[in-house]
Amino acid sequence: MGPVSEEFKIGQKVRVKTESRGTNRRVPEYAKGATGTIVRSYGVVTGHQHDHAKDWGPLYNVLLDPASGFSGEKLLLDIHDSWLEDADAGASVVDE
Amino acid sequence: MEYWRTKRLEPRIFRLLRKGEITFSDIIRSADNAGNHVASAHTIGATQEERVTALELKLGEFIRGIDVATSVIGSNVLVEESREEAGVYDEKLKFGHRRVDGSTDDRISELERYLEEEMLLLGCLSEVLIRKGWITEEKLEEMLKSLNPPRYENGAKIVARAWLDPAFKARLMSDAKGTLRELGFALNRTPKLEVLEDTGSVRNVIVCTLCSCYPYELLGNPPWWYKHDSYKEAIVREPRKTLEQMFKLSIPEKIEIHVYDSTSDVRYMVLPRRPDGSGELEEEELAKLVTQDSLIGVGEPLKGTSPT
Repeated sequence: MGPVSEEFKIGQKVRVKTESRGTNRRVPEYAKGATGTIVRSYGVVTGHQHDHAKDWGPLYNVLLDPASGFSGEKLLLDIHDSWLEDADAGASVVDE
Repeated sequence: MEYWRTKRLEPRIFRLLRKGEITFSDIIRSADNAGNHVASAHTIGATQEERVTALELKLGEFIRGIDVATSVIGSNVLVEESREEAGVYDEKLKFGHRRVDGSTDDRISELERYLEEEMLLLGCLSEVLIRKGWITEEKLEEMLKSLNPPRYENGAKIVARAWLDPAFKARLMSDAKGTLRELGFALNRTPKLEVLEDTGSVRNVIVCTLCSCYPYELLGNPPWWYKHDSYKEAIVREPRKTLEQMFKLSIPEKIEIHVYDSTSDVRYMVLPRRPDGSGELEEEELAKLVTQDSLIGVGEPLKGTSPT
């Protein structure tokens, strides 16, 4: 069922999609379109009967790039892979 | 409170109504006996602080009452719908939240009134369950008394042990859920648990901006503000300022603040730094220094020496 989910590596730069048709339909508004770095990889988290019926695919903890010059403050959030894409993928055409 | 009303109590009543298991008349007819199952939410002639404490206690009763009613309903008529089916994620279908405005006194009065109303509804529901024969009054009382909800003191014990026992801390950091299961915490409804350790250079703070993810099963209910938009919105935008303004916690510039927005399957708990002046204390006394706020990352543990 569905395409095989992408695998992201720790340290990889990612961008949060602005919309996703994955099983998890939600991501915080402030994160949409933001870029960041994968810092933890949780894999597919199971045992969540209480929260949602299906597995939601691999889950990552993403350190967002600072939005507006805060120093010494970091925002890390958990995002499912259906909401993530490689940050460099889109840019490769214009580079060089 | 709005969380429990809009996600736990009222959707369940609507589900029962929709499926024809109970009727509106059942609820209305139960009103005269509703007071037998719930207490009043008003605390007469009390100071502001006493009223807030009373509200917190009664909110606890409200939540326990919902839990008991839910388990009675679940064992008699229905299998729980998933949150998605219940419309929790759908702007059009989900239950709206009420806002409480005005001075602190006004807001407390409003909350007392809301809680009183919801307690009445819960009392009616409990009475309906009895009249339907789904449970006896005695059994309901017994369930309400025997339900011993988890509290943040669980977390305090874990923290105290981690302060004293480096090997335990190491296991806790690498596999929190497995380690705590060895200690007898079931954690059957906690998909994944992570412990975030504060150090001399990093302070951790937890929030869930999408819903109110919190390690309920381990630490009980979070403080009321944890589910409030004012905290959720501010802490991700301006953590340092929010800690200062909302919690009077001033973090030196040289210390990084890491805000974890859990959003989903992982539940986080902060392991605060051991306070000064606690060198001599045993595990049990150390645990008493750990506050609920310090497990969320918005407060310090108490000082080891007696306060002046």
